[in-house]
Amino acid sequence: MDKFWRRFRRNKLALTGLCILVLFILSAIFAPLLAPHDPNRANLRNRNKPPSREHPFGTDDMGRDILSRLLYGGRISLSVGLVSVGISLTIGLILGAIAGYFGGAIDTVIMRLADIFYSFPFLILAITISAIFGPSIYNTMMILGILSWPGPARLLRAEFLKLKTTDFVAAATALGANPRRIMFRHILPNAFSPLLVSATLGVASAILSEAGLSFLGLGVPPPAPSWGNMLNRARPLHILAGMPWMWIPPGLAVFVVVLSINFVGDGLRDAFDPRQDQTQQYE
Amino acid sequence: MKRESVLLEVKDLVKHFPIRKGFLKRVVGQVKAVDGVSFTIGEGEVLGLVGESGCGKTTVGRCILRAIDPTSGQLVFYSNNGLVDLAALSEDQLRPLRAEMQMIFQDPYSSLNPRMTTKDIIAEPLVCIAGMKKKEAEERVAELMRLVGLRPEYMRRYPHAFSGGQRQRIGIARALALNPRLIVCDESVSALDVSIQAQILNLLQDLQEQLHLTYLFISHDLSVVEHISDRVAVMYVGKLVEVADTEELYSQPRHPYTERLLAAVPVADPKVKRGRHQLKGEVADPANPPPGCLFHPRCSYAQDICAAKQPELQNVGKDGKEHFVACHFARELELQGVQAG
Repeated sequence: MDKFWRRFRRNKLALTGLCILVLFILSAIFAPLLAPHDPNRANLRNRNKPPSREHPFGTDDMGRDILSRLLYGGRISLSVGLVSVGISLTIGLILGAIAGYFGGAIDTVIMRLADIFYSFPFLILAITISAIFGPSIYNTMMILGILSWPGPARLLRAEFLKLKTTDFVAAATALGANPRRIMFRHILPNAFSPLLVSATLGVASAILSEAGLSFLGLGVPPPAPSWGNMLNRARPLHILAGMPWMWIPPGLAVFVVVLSINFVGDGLRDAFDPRQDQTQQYE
Repeated sequence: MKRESVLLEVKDLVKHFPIRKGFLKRVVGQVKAVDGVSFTIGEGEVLGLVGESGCGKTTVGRCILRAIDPTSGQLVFYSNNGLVDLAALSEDQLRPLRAEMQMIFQDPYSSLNPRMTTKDIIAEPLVCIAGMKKKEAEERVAELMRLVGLRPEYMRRYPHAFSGGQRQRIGIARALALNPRLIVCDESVSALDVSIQAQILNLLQDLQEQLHLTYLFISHDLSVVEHISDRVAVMYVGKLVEVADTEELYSQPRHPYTERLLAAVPVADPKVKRGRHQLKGEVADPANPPPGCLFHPRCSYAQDICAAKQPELQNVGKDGKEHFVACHFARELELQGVQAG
């Protein structure tokens, strides 16, 4: 663990990303303390105001404080991103590992299931599910998580297929390691880096998908703010052209968070690889 | 020649790999990687197993350790707890027996998990089979590292920090962890530089004497096999063609294939003329073997019977010595060997 942290720290970009991410997470957690206004209180006399001392990021078309909405929106966008990737990664990891390791009929069944999930039109399924269960943040997480497991599953299956035939796995078998130990101790650590990269990309795309679903009224129901529905509110041309304070903050927030997560993912991948401390090993 | 008691008896070992084709993955043929191989290894003996690429040497080794499951045949192992047929055991029944037989792999780069420290790699069998805790295992790991000529201080390093020869030593230490009796060395030195090869070979020999080990030494390198083996078995397309004591096999081969193999060993003398005995043609396809003797299409001594009837492995040794050959003309042919080195 110590070495892991040392390797991670060496990557300055990843460290910066981690700091920014922590900052965003903290600001989302402590939003009630940090927000200068109630994010949902409309003030129609104060619509479309540019940034001022009272409203540092200005107000939106209903006179709500953009900074407050941004802070509260972070709660929803970040948790949707992390939880839905958590769900898809867990399902994908288990199914992909089983498919790749055992092969045969199990593999066929799981992979055809993945094909089925892939071939469902995402939006139609999402609309159906939220029509049945109603739009809510938890349903959004579930939908995104359950619909995106085939990606990590396929990735992991491919890695398992490749690693299963290596000599060190044969060695582990001959040395008496049981299948669980081979899967989790020998193969998984070596299959981790592509999975990690796909997970970080998944967080980014989940944040963006949440924005899309919110736009259709299927994600986080208004008036609760999320970065996605803030962006979508700013879609009219006159806002895009004349009131950049409405879309720059949430847009920048999505951009910076996605970028940071990708840097952290890169850093984690390198930190998981013991080959990276070549220099330190030869002391 | 030490031949006290039998340790492993391989009886009619067969491993066929099915060839599947089409949408329904129907079996359209069999690759006969190992097709009826029988031999014995005595306690404390080094048996060399040689042959060209793809002749099934490695498959034999892996079947014995049940890294792959044989199609049929018996693997009678005289374990510490009595006789067992390794081929008939389930994976769970096999696990305790794995302490008594281990493997040293060919490629020291791919046979060590790059994400595990040296300590964890060597401790693997201690943890998996002996059920040791990590702390207890550490002492044994240090002892093993010293035994194979590595410094125990390095046990926290990852494999990438070691050279090829050192990595192979790690592989050897791992194989020795539980005091096995039988070790299958699968091309254990062929991936190494010649200078390192000699070191590892000597290490293997020292360990064998010191710990009274039994080796099945699989290699395509005849000079290496000659150096280390008490007896040598020659394989061709999944079958044994000749088994004899090393000295006898090298000086008086009885199978034309062995003669050709020996003639192909490089000689470090540019003046030595060759070419007369070179092997011609391709190795027979194990999915579609020729009728009769598998070697007859390439054999310059072949006659009609060779294409019609498959020769059995028979003992043609003189003076009570064992010398098994599978050739119709084993007794008649005058074949050329090499000077014992």
